[in-house]
Amino acid sequence: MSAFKRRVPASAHKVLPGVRPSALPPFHPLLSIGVPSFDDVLGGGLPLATSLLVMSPDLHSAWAHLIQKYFIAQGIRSGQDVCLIGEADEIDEILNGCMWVPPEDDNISGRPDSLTDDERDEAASGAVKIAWRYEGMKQFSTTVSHNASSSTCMLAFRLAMDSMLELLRAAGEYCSNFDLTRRIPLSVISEAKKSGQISTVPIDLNEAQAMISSALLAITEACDTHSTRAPKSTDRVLRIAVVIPSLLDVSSLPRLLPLVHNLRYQLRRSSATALITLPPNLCASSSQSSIGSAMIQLSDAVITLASDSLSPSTSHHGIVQLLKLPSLNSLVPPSDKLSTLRGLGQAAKGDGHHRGGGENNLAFRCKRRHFVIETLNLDVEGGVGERRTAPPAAVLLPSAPERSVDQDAEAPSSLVDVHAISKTTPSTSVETSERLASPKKPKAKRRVAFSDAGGIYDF
Amino acid sequence: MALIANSLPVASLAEPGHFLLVNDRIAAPGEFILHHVLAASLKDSTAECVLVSFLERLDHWKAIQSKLGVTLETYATRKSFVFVDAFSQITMPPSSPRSQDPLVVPPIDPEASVPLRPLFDTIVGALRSVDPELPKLLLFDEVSLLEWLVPSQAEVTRFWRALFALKQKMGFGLVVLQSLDASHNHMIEFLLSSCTMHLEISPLASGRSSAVTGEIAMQRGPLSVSDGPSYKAVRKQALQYRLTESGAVWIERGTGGGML
Repeated sequence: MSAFKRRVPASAHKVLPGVRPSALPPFHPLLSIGVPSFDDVLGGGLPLATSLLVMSPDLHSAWAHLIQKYFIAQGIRSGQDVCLIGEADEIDEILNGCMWVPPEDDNISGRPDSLTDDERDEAASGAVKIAWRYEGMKQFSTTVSHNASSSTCMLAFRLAMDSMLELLRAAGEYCSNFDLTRRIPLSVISEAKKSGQISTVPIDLNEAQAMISSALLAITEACDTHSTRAPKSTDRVLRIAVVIPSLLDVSSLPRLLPLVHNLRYQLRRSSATALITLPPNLCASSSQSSIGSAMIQLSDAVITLASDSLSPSTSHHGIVQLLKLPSLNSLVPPSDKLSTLRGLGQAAKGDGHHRGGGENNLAFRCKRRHFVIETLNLDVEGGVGERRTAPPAAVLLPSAPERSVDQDAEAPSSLVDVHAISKTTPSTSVETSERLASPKKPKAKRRVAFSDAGGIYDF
Repeated sequence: MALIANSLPVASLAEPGHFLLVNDRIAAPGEFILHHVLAASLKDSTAECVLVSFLERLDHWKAIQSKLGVTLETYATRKSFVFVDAFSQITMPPSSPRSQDPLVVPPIDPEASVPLRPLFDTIVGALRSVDPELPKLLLFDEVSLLEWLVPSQAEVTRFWRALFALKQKMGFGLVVLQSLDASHNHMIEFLLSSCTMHLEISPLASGRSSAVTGEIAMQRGPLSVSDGPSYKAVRKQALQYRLTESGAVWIERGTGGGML
């Protein structure tokens, strides 16, 4: 193992702040979105020179804007340049509403191994004695935690990369530990604006024709200064946050396509990434239409955060749909092999054969301090366990001929076969008189008493 | 004629007059077919290839072709591969400075009388720069973008008709990648009615899997010549594929072809 050290070519991308190389060749540089589980789904982060389109079709929530805030906050924290494009009020609201790190993380820069609040509580109470058989197993987890994500590189690769990681840590954090209860200090915003780290490009919706071309020119200029080839380019990475205005209607979607296409080209020739968010009214109509698919085609990665505020669930806030994953200069997205949340990479391990597994269903949840993407697991009873309500009135216990009347009231712990109810009527006609009491009222309202709360047959 | 084993038969594609239409979906992208066709044509020296790319730069094509074992630079210097860049300038504002390179398509101006004329002229120029004696193959990467850049569908139809006429005149084979999701219905029907071979790539109905990326179906198009060289596959099951770093591995459905 010690003899095996993967050599990273020395010329592989100068060390830029807040940028980490991918774990697979050709070690393309990656940026963090700010959410560790999101980075994992993308394969370690969003590759430089790509764009991510986030759609949130729910009209009553703003998940896409939340991701946008993470993206911007991470850019500021890592010392990268941020350019916001969108309607003036909207981008101000997003910028001022960004989250920030808790004070203890703020002073000590580059300490990604500090525990989050939730993890601290768990660690304190973790003195439970576990049966010896299970001691070696790691804790059940549905998501990738913050400190785990900073070490998702394979171990052998890490041995070779340790020195580089130290350099990266000093230059700027990759993924900060953001806390949703903290807001970004106004001083940080004004400092960043003054130093030119944050630049905004407000779009005026009243100028229908000029709106797109002015945005295009702004993007071109921003990418010119961060171009990979120009001799006078800065040493900083640019994050472009494109917030498509919510006031646009569906008929103006075709006009956005040249903008997105040109953005794609500008990104390719510069060290920049873009996060595009579509407002809910445009997402809802574009999911099936050809214009929506054209937008999806022009972006490198597309993710939908589909939440249903009309029928909320307790275990998650919405489903994550990965419509497209970044595959820069490759036919297969590296996230297939690298993502632990998606669970596809396991198939290639071992003897190299591909076992045909599907990928995990992913859901997202906004906890008190963090936004996480986790695997969606059904409960033990197959997912119905959540809907524990009183049983419908017509459900009866199947009274088998052998059983005595006393046992009817007490529930067997096995599942009730609803279809067996119809079979009881002919069989009980030959029984003794004691048992005739129960079949006499086949439609009687009987409570199905299971050992746990309520019945689980809701349908 | 070849059985589908682990390769797609491309020798017949560059026959003059052939038009292979590849339809893909967002969930099952079909770019790998173009890569296979390009790699096979260049490696076997069956045709000279002109590639028109709307969505990616030359670096992207070079990187993936190198994994398939083809170095595009050597073929480019030999003039058997020409890259027409329809990506960098095409959506710039019409007033922006234009590149002097004849292989870069200038910005499309929707207000112009024939907006797609510059694109057509660039393609003609590229085709004329290769050796006229050898068979030629013109590949298009993702043409659904054209429908959104010009105000009327008639312009796009006009462009395609001009291209088909050019195909008859200059005698080259045509391979077009069109997304079923991102194109308008009547453009899909238009191209389908003019093709000699139709390849449709669809995702699995049950979602993404690590073993199978999608399914592929190939049919003769309406304009195929019955006694011309055609592709026949002897197979009993639907054909599926799995995308790997170096192209696609073909699996017959229900067998363990790609796994064992």
